[in-house]
Amino acid sequence: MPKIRELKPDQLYRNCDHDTLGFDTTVDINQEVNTVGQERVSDAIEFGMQISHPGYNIFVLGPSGMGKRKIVRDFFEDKAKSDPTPTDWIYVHNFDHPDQPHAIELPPGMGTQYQQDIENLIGEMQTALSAAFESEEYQNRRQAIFETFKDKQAELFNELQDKANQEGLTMIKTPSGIAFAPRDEDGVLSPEEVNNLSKEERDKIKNTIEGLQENLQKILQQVPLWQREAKQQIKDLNKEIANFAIGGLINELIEKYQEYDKVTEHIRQIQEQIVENADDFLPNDSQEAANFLEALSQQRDRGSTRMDRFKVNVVIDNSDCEGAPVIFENNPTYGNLIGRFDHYAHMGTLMTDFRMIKPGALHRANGGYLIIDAIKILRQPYAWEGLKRALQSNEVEIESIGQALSLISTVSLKPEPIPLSLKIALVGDRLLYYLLVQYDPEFSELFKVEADFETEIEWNEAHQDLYAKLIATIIRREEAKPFNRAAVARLIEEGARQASDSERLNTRLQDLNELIIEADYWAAQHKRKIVTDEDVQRAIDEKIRRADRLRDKVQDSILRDINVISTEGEKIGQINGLSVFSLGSFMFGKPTRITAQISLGKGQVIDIEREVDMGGPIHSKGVLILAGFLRGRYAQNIPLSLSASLVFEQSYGGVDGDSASSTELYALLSAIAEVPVKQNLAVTGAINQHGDVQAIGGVNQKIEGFFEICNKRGLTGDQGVLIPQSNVKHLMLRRDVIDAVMAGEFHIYPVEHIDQGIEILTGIKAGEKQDDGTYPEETINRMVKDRLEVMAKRLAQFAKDEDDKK
Amino acid sequence: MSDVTKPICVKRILIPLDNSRHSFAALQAAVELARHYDAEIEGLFVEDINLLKLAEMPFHQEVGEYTAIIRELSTDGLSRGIIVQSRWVVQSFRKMINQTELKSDFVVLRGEVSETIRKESQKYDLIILGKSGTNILGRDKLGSTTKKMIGNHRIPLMLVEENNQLGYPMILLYENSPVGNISLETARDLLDPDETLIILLNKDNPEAFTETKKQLKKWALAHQVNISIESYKSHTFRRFIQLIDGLKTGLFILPHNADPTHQTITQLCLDMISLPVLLIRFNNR
Repeated sequence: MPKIRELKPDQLYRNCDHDTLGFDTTVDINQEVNTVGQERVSDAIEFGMQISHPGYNIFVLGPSGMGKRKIVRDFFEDKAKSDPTPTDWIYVHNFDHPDQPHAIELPPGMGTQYQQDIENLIGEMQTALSAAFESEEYQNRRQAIFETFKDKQAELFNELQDKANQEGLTMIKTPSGIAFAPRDEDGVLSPEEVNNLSKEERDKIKNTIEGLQENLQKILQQVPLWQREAKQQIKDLNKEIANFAIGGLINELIEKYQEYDKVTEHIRQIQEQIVENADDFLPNDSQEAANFLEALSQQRDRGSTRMDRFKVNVVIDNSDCEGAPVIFENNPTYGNLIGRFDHYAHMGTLMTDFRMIKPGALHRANGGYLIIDAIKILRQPYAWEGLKRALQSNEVEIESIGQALSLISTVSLKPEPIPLSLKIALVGDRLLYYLLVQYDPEFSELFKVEADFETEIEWNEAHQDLYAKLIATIIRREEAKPFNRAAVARLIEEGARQASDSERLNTRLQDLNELIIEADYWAAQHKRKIVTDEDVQRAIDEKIRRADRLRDKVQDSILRDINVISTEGEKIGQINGLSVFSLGSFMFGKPTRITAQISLGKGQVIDIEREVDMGGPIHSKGVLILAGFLRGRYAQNIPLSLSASLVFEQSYGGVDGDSASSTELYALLSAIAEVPVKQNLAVTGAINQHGDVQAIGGVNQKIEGFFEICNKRGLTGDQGVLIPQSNVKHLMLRRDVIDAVMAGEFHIYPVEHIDQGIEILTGIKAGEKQDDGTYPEETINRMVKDRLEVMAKRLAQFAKDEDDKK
Repeated sequence: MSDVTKPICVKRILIPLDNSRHSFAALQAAVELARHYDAEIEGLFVEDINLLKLAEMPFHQEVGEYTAIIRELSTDGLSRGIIVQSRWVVQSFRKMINQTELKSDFVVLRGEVSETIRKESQKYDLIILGKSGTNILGRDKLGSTTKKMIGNHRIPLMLVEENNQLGYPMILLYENSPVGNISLETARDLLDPDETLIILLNKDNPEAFTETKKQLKKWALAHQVNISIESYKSHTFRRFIQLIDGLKTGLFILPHNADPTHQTITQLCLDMISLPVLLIRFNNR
């Protein structure tokens, strides 16, 4: 077995070689770099943008803080510049079905132009119609029609009157009709005078009156027909005048938009509406309203309000757009995405019309690119379904949710759908992507391109160079002061520390961004014009300080011996393990006492944590593995006749992970062999059934966690930590730890096998198996095996005695 | 044209109303004149006793004006119809008068219409009537009530037709007589100083015409009134009067002389002129 060599200071930290950075300050770096090591993502987005088939939308996945949105946006904006500018879309009134407004497509910029032209047309039409209908010609012709009607009526009445007069009768207007009564020179006869007439005379009068009444009836029955005729004549006249008044204006506009059939059709419909209903558009000298409601009603019916129907609602105006639009919808509610139509209150009722249609992000991004946060759209009711529906049908159709669910009952619209052609990038974390793939069958059809962000990249010279350029780009973007070479080097080293790997760099841009901004702040506090490595270190330290309240508490409790951790002496069946706490973005290590007790038994290793449901499955697995190791190594010829229990002392939360499995094994071996373990050492590492020590996570924090306790108690010179050999490459330790190692006050031992570890922990050789299957004298393995044999015999004897008793 | 001649003095105006459009045009004119004279307006609605008698006739039937249905007339039904009419008229009168600060009153009387108005008018200085009432024969004809009022009015009478408003030009058919001079002074009283009074003067007798014209000019100069004298001859008066038929606003002041030659001209004026006509009769009460 190779002898363990404790790690040297240069193995504990990878320094960024300043000489490999070819600049003095970041001002010297001109190249713009927005991503590092994201070639897979770049290729995926490029592919997604170029491929024009439906369904090739992009899902950009990766942890938060990677700068996913910015990167995809940069890609889109770059591509959008060379894309054609999409068309404008307008909504206009549908005169046949007012609840189904028409959508019209126009070249970019023409939507607003047409809107303005229609506004002008309305203004001019109002003037022209007023002038035409107030003209003497119109008034006289209109009057003539009325006069003709009245004359016709009067003529017949006069005839009837004359006839009545000849018969000695007169026509009398009653409040609701017309009556005939006998008269003489002095006027209408009184009832008495009539009654004094002879019966013959009265009958004659009666017959005459009946005849006259019949005639009158015929005349009166004619009146509505004449009225209708007169009204029709007036209508024809109105049409003629209106046509003359607005014809020129309309033709001018039709000529201007002759290339666009739907527009000319709309203009013609306006003309038709005005000509057909000319009198509705006349200036209305309506009588004074008797009450508020009447006034409101009149307001609505005025000509100018009626003209509103002819207006144009420009939902998409690309007049100022160069290239294709790139839209990021930060609040992807159903309405903000698909579009909506608002309502206005009118006399206590909610009304809407085509002018109230408001575009959604899909409209605005049509012909271009749309970026949405996946989690945000999924959180909004119906938004996800709405988006999928639009993508599947390749058109965007505005529908009110309230209407669809019958939540509200009011006037609604069904605007004509607009064809949809755009590229969507959903940005979200990996879990969301895999959940959507798993549970939404339509998702994979609509988002076929997966752009998966790397969270770390290899720390090689090329990447280091790019990383420096990325740092310089962020500094420029954030308008921070220039960083000197040492500061950039420190940022790169911190990148490795964040990746928890001396051979990798963290690509989470948010971390880098924050560090740059904070270092810039500390430089400013020190009135430095250039940010130095001291400022970067200050930023790191301060960031930790802001988050380490709980770490202080935990350490305080250990130093006050409330949470008991020994850092000196030796003890059987007791060892220092190391665990890691993760609080938000801050991780710290904490030593934990692990103890083992054994007794005669049936080969069970009891994990007390699991027994009380405080141990996670991985931890339980680790314990079962160590039991496997025990059986494999020591119980080939004899039964494993012990019962062991393992516990994390003073652990009041859950425990998970297998990083303590080697530690637990050491405690168990110590207990079995009755050999004390050095308490000045702490151990971390997972094991397999062969006793090989395997890598664990959070190695830096774990080492630092034990170091801090020892350091605060005063370093004795023999304290240290056992870590798996395979974790050495992950070491990016703090300066104070490295300094202590350098001074020989603290030691870090890389362990490959359990036998190496037990030697360091007990100071006794582990002992290699000899050809006869035994272990040499005075070795740990021999002691363990001997003890197990004794226990097996005792158990066998105990069983025999029991049988004999029976 | 003596200096002692005074214009008509109007303190109280009677405005008999029915539910015809003419009568509301008359009310509008009454409001304007009341403002000028600072006079009080009294509205009058007469419940026609003749109508009520109709129901007592042996053949009490009417033909619905719009429905053309023949139905029985009853006293109750007629009464109710008249009451509805009168209520509507009162409301309309109040609505218009309330927009002014004029003093006003309204009375509803029952009786024979012309006679009731005539009697009631004795308490007033001016009576303003719609040119025709609610008769179905329609337009431009003098209503029976109006005709009767023209025949026997003692106080100044103004006739107003629908669609024609009181305003300018002011035209006076002058004759050199006491009533002519009262009319002349009344015109002066009503005339805005910036406006011109158009005086129509008969030229059947050229010498008399020249003399009267001279006097009128003198009068105008003395009173600083802008006048414009237009001559006419009796046999061409119809043609002459047609010229002013197209006017929609204005005022025609007509001295109402019992002289038969004037009767024809008066009748022509009343028949042909659509402008509000102010008939002034020499009042020696």
